[in-house]
Amino acid sequence: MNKLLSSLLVGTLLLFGTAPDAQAAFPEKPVTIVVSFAPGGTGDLTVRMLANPLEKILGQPVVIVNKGGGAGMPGFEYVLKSKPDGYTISAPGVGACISSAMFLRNKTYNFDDMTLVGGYILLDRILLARPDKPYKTWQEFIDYVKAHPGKVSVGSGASQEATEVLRSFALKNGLDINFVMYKSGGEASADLIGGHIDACELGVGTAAYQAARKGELNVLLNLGLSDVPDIPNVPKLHTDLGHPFYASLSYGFVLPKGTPEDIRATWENALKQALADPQIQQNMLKAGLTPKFISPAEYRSMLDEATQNLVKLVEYIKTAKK
Amino acid sequence: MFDQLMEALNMVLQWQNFFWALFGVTFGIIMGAIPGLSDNMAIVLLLPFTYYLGPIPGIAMLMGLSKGANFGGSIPAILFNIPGTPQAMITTFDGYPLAKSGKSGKALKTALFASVTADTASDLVLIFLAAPVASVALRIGPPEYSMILLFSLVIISLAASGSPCRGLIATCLGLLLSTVGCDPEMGTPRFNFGFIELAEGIGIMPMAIGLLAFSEVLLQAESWYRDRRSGKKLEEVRLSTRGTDADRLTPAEMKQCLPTIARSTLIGSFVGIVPGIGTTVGAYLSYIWSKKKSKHPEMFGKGALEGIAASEAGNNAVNGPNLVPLVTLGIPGNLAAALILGGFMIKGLIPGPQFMESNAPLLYALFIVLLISNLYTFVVGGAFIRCARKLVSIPKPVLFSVVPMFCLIGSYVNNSSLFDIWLMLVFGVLGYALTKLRISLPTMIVAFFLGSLLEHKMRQSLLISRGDWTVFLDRHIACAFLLLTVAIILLYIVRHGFGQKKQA
Repeated sequence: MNKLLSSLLVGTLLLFGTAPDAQAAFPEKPVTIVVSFAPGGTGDLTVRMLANPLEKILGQPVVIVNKGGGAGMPGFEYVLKSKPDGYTISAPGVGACISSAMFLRNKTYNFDDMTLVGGYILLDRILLARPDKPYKTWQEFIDYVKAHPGKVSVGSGASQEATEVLRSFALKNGLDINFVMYKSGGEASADLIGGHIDACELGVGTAAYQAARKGELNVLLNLGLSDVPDIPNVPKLHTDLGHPFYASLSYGFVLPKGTPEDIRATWENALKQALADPQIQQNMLKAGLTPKFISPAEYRSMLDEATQNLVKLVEYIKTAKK
Repeated sequence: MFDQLMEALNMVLQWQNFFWALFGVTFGIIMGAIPGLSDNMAIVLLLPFTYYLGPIPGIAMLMGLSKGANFGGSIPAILFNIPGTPQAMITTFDGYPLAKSGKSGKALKTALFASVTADTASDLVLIFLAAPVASVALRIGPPEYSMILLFSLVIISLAASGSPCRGLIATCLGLLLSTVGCDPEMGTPRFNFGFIELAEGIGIMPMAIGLLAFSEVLLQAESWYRDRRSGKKLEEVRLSTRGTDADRLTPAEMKQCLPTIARSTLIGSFVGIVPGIGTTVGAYLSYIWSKKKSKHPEMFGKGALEGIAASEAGNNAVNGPNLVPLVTLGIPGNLAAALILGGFMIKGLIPGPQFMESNAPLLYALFIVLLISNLYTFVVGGAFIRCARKLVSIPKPVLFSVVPMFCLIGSYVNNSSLFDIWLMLVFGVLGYALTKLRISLPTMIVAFFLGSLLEHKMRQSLLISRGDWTVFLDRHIACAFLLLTVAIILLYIVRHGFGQKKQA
């Protein structure tokens, strides 16, 4: 809060202090949010949910442009290369880009090359199974896998990172599991509900999660860090079970490097206010998403940690496989 | 039930819904009719706009768009041999020959009649059979999926073109191209030649636009140039005279097409149950089956009305069942369904297993909107046919410069990527060369569509069974399709031998 006040103060001082060639308050024209995914996905939807309150807070129209393809990276890097004037901003892709850069290009991003505004959602991955299976909890599932080595298949709703986290756990604990990759959460959900796979890793907010809310699927494990909305007593792989890795995707806003501090602060403030909107809170919670403002400093350390973890994870699996 | 229906009617019977559905259908037909611009693109363009409308008008517009574009694509397919959307490519087989013989009006009206009839029938499948269809859909896991895809691929490569050898070459080329991108299991990039733009595979839009539209322009420009140099009279699509039989679909012909439409609706609906296979395959399989069933299969490819009807009915019938997983489970089966899901979510409504119980009136409203859109497609499409006929009189040089322009725009806008433009041009030239070698482009495109799915599903099956191939025999549905595939190959060899003979 202090930081916010001081930045506001600095902003005000700048405005009045340099009166002759004063800049008008940002923003004075429409702003563009570049979503680095195709329209219709969870990431895109959350940005669109936020666009309405952001428009009211910023007092300028908010234009959403989708630049999909390339696992989110081209659209994200497009913003990093654009003019650092605050009118072009990237959402929600930075978290997803870290892992796609790692797995597709074997490279990492340096967060000094961008200006972080803040995060707004932590999207946890969870492991689900049909209730008619003999295992209802994570421990029962492990016992079942041990009793049926090589017979249990676990699907993944298109998260390479989450699959690798589960694989690392399986390797460490001598679990013989068949991992099955899907192209999207929807495809994986259909096969899980249809009983073609024994368990499946998916994000909160997907169709399978909605089915779990209704009791048509069981949640065995939380691969992420925050609590699963509406479903209590799910063990967390990292915090409760002590596994070194976790799978949690963060959504956030990022500006190009060199964006003036007052403009960044305006964005941060707007994001914070937008997230406080009760209607937004309600709509997001209904979808199973937990909106929460994450400050730039906090976000930076989260992203750094995620990057380091990915590097470690890749190494871990390499050595464990040998 | 009755109360909910009344509540739904209450939601639907507002001028906004009718207006936006009309707008969607009209815009969809225009976008569909312009080669290079497709229905998905129209949906993506107008999507941000739908968020400002309420859920029902927004969905009315989206559904109108996809239905309108589905028909619109057949207009240039019939008049210029250039499909406006990929799913209309099968319509060119008979639509263009019929138009060349001076019956463009008849061809267009057949397409409209078949489109609307099949679309309405498939919507009724969605409305009344959603629950049973969903339970069938859930039984199709990776092994079943693989065998259905294999079956479709074999049918298409054997039966589609005159020579099975060329058909197989086309299929193999398509399968080869589908391996570009990412390994579905490991996520490692492969065959992308160092282009990060190819990380998710070859874009279907630049590829389809290049192969179907751009290459056709090259071919037609070449023959136009040759004809002009040799002073030969050009073979033109002649305008059908208004009010003659050549301009309309007679009641007898309508009756003649009905069995074909019924069959194609059945195939299309089945294809729609299995998500991801898509409209083009529905059209292709319907076409092949109708040709087999027809009393005069020699007419197919030369302007058979049933050919047009089969293709158009087959691709439209996919749409209704494609919405079933969305309605029953909250899982979108295609792009339009994904966008409807998004539209609901933004309004704080979450499609899923509980959606049908808690939001029944909204669902009924969606169904009513679907039927309204069909009606609009019929009316607006009819009006468009009158104007579209005049498009034939566009001078060829103008047409050959305008279509490539739209090809460029169309391949660019999907990802705003210059790379896709180069991709489209490469495929344009490739399409030109392959047509000269008499290798069927539609077969290749369908193989490309299905190739990555087939690989993906087969590897999933083998991952589940840990490399045990008997997984395809253990499952009833998978085994049935495998046996059917083998039987068809054997039957083909018995009838035609191994040699390259002309097919009847």
